[in-house]
Amino acid sequence: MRNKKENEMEELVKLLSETIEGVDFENEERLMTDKVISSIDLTEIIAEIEDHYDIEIDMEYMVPENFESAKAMLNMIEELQD
Amino acid sequence: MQSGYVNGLFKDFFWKGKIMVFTTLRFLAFLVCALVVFAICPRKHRWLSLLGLSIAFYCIASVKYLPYILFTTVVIFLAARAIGKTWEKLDADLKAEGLTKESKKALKAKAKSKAKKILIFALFLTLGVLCYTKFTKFLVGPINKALKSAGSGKTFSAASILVPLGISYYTFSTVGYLLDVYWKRYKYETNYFRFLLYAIYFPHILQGPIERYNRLGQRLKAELFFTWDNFIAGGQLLLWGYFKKLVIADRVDIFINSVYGDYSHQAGITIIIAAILDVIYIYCDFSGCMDIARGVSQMLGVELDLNFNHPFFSKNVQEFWRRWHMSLGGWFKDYVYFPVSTSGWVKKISKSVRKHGSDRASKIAATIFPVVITWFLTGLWHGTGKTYIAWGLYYGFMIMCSITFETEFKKLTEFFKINTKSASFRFYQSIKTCCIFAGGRLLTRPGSLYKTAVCCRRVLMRGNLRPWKLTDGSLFTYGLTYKDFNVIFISVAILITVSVLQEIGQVRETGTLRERLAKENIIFRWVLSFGLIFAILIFGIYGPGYDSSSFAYMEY
Repeated sequence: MRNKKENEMEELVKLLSETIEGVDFENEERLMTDKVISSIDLTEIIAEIEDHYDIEIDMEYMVPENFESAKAMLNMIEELQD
Repeated sequence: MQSGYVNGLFKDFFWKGKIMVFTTLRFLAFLVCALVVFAICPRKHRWLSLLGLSIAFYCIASVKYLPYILFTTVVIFLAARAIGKTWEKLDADLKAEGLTKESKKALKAKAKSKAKKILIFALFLTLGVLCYTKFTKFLVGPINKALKSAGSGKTFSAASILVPLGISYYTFSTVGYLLDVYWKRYKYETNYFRFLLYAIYFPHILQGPIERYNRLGQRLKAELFFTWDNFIAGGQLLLWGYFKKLVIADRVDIFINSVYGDYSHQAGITIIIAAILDVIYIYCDFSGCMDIARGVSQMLGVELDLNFNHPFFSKNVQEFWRRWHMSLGGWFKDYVYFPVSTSGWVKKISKSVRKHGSDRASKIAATIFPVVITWFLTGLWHGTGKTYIAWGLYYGFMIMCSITFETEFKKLTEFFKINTKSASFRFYQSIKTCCIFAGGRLLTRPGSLYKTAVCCRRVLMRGNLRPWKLTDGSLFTYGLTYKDFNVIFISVAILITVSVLQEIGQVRETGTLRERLAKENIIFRWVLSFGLIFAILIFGIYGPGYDSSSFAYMEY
């Protein structure tokens, strides 16, 4: 049985892959450090996440650590949903 | 060497101008004193010695500048403290038991409103001073014209407006700190003098890099060591910077000035050569200065951030600006581009376009405003004339083209079966990046948009290209001899070789070139260091009569 977290992760990876093509969001852990995504990609990702999860990502959350991997993004989303 | 020459050299370098430009003997004398003071000072108090030295460095330029930097740092320090305390109080209030979701929301909104008011007030004061000192002199002309046409005899003088040393750099650094505290990225500083040192630290006050407080501030807070390894590594970087500036930049500058000084009579090929040499000039001038700044700082045991990372190896113009003047690009990205691109109005426009159009149109709509605003402001940062606004918009346009037609470029390379990972394609990308950059320089370097237009016309004019001027000796009539061109050619070849070796080291993660050199035997290292010193002494452009007055990016 898949747990809730795995389902949420799958949903997020699907959303990210549809937003930015050609990036391995499932395994990539240094999206920002290795400049896998550009600042333009990042603003698109932010817009999609805000739309999909109905949350607002304040500037204080816009730090590289929160966007390094899908896992980091999911943790940020959960924190904002609380 | 004649004694008159030596006297002239010393007189020129010691007393010409008040600012201690890195290429003056005055600065070298100051550096020796700074290293002695730093080394003999107890380790615990070394930061205070750096503060004292930095204030002295600033005051030697002019004591009149000091109140401006003190005003900005005091305002930002107090505002950041007040905002930080507001967040601390909010955290404490939120920990209270029995709070409902609504009351928590109300508490957050109240704290945010208070912090926002403090932020706006501080930004108004500090950016107000920056705008007043930078922009007023450009308004004096139109104001005087308007007064004259209105029959008033009163006029304003631009000469009375003081532009404090490094105002753009320290204002941007400290404003970045304030915004970071406002966005809760890190804690506020409690010691004003520590904060003042971060703003006024002498290796970076003249031309940056625009450092972040959580990096440079923390490095200056750590125990500062004076070590032989740091001294040697910093010294090597310093020499490399002098080589770029004195041997290459200042030599090619003679040719460029001579060509653009008589732009209306030049052959097309001469203007093309000047434009190519101008790319070499600005890179060697600015990155050379950064090497000197970083080298000096490393000697003092403090690492400064990298400001150049071989920008001409970039694939496109976006990447170029991530590798050229990185601290300024990073500042605009974090404090202008992201806040604008994630602001409500940009999101609204993007959503509305997506509803009525395609995803692609929505992407362009979401990007165009932040890119244009960021580049307009970047242009204004570099200068307030029309040329710099045109320069900013030129890059905004180039970046928008690159984003908009990304899919078409990709399809085109696939259609022609071009291997985009091949060395030849990378070479083409580098040349394309250089050409775009040269186009941008051509907008600002001649001095006005009219002069730029004349230069372009002379290149494109039928029969005016005159390529034979490359070989008939005409190029040696612009202040540079055959020997000078040989020096430029060999120096640029050395520069490219070093850059390629550094780039390879980065890609393969085998460490920096200096780290690899440190592993070589001592004779080889000393031969290299002395070779560099002799190259600077023999081929450097300096001496009596030569005005090594400033670096290109010092005027900002």
